[in-house]
Amino acid sequence: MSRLGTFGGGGADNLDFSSHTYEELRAAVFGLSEEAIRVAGNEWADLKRRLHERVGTLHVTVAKLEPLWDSPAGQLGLEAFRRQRDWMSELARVAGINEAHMDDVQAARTAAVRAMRALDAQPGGPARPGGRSRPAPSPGPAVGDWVDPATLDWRQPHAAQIARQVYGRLAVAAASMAAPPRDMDVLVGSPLGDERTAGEGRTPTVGAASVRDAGSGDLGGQGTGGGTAGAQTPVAGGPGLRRPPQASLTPESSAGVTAHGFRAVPGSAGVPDETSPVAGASLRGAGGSRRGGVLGGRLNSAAATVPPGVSQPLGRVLGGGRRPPPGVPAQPATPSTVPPSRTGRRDDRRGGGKPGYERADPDTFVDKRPANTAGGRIATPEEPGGFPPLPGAVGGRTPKPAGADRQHTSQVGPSLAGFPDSLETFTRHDGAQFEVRRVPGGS
Amino acid sequence: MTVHVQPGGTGSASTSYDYGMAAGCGGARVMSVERPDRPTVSVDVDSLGCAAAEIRSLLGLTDWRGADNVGLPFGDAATFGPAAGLAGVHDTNLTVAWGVVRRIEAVNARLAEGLAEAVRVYGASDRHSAAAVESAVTRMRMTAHQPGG
Repeated sequence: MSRLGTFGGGGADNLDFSSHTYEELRAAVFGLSEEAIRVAGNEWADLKRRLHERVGTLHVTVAKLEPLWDSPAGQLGLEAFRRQRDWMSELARVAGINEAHMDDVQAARTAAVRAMRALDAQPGGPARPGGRSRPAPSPGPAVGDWVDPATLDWRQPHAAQIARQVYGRLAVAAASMAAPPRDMDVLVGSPLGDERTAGEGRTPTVGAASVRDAGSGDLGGQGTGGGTAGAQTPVAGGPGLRRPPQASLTPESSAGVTAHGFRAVPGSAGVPDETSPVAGASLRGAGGSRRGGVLGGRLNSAAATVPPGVSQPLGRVLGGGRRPPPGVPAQPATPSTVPPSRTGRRDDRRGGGKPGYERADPDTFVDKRPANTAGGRIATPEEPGGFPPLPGAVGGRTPKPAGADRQHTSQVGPSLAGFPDSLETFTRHDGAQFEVRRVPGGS
Repeated sequence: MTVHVQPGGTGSASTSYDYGMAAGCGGARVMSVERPDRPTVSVDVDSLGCAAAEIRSLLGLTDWRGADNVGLPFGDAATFGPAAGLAGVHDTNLTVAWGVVRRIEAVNARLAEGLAEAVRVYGASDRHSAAAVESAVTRMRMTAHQPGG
């Protein structure tokens, strides 16, 4: 039994039943029909199961026929099978969503009834027997004959809370139930990420459309007249509907598609873990490539922003040359003052095709801004006791006061491990204190 | 057993064929047409016949009688508005689903009949020209959303 998520109470938070008496709230909770809710969930579950069986059959059949029916007519026939499979997959997905909603409603109703029974078991009255009673409301101007129900029965606020929870769940389910796709035109061709929300997120406007169509009688009567459905039914689907190129359809075959010429994107309609048993094969990694592209884009952008002068553990300086000795105030780098380096010079062709931060002159950013404009000391590898600053400490964009946060380092140059043996403490530019502990016997 | 339909002028018959194997699942009766000016045709008629039999299992979706439960009230007169609202939305979606199921069933039936007809036409390809066979299969109303049957 699938669940859309845990329901911890609340639901629609704008429901307010505080004006109802305890008896009214009690009747409202117990009046919910368990049988009707259960039957509703079972109907959707039954439909989903039947569709799953047929979608599985079509998956297998299409896979068998593809290599065996190699002809233009076969392509049309197999395309018809695929569209039918996608249509049933989408309907199965909708049935699964609605089944889950009804299951959640049933669970909420069960919990509410249990809580209300526990409340019923306690004696009522204005004050809770043996417990703290609510303070009497301040006397205010009389409003006719209205009496605050909470003053009549101490259980009323609790009953109101129970009713709000269960009826909030009903309201959410009513707003979230998915409308079945009437034909192929409303299949969503959007990427995987949108498909899950395409049915769940259908607002009451979709339900309103259903009501409108229900009234118009355009339901169920197109069993043999399916060709007109595409013309009558407006395309109410989500994004991503794709129209196949007309040049690929022969005059005979064009009659086989809908009046709008749309066809579903293969594998776009099903959610693999809910509908089609074998639908995973039909999803050609569109979601994965989409996510990969986004992630790759983020990584690329992150790499492009590596500031120059970032030192690596082995002491190699990316984008920069040798650092000036400690104690020397950092100066805006100029080409004449920067010693030559293996990397980072614009005319250094040995590396070939270096990224931007290495192509620039040492101690300058790619956009020609001089690095280390904020000051600070930069230790050189051969400097006794020098210690290369941590990444981010060099060329920081935040201006620092002159002479501020000088690194408290020893006079020994860095070892291959990057830390001089005599280093004891270190204060980062932002004031963070670092303590170096040497483990005896460590490599 | 292989059935070849050789390309040629309109009305030309096949030049070589033989029948030696009864049609059955797992067979390899292939109808192939090689046409230099148009896409070739190669159809395993026996396997197509097996698939036509399997496709019949698509039928019967209308055994789902969900629409019979339209109108079940989710609460009595004492319940609040959201109960009636959910019942209304549920009934509407159930009614729409029932209509969709009937249309899917009709399309499935048409697909099954079309596939069976394609098997029959391909199987009788020795009495037809290549172009006529392919045209006959293309004209068959196997695709969805076709009025009538």
